[in-house]
Amino acid sequence: MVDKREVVRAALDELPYDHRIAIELAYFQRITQAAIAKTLDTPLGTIKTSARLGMRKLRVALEGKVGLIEPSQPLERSDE
Amino acid sequence: MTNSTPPLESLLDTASELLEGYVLGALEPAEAAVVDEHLDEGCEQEVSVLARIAQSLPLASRLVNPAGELKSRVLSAVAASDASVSDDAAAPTMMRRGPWPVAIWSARRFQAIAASMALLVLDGLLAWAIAL
Repeated sequence: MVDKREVVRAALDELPYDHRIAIELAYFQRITQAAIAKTLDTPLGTIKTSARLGMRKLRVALEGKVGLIEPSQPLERSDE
Repeated sequence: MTNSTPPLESLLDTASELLEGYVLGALEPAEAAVVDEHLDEGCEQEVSVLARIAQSLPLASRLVNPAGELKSRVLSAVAASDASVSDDAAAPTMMRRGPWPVAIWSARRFQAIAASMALLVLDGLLAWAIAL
């Protein structure tokens, strides 16, 4: 039986450090991206991109796994 | 400040680029407001999915450990963030509204989690230092 915690843990472990820290500082430490950028002495755009890419990778990793994310849902809104 | 109104497509692009920060609760109030305004224009489903990803994060208890000076800067940023959120009314918009579970947590609950996570980080660093 697949453990949800292991799935999420493995997905996070696969993230590059800059992606992961941008996500974790925001979510767990509740710091704004602007404050993260200042804290890490990194451009704000880089922090935003890291968070976006990290969340996308997490989504791919978690899709269809142990009921966390439904695989049928689109990654982005479609451009029409 | 400018009086010109950006075209809708531009605003939607801007909003879509903010969604990850939105569900992570990491946007400035003005940025969160942009997303709030466009939830009914195609962003709501995406936010719902991203929010589920964010909600799964606490399942992973191993967190990155900022080291050395970075750790102290992070803790300072956390302290500054806590000081700036003196009550729920000051929390970002998404924390006070919306159908997503992550959005209905109170600022105080987030503070409690942040404090516990900060302790986890410190515990990890201490264990690492002892191991050395």
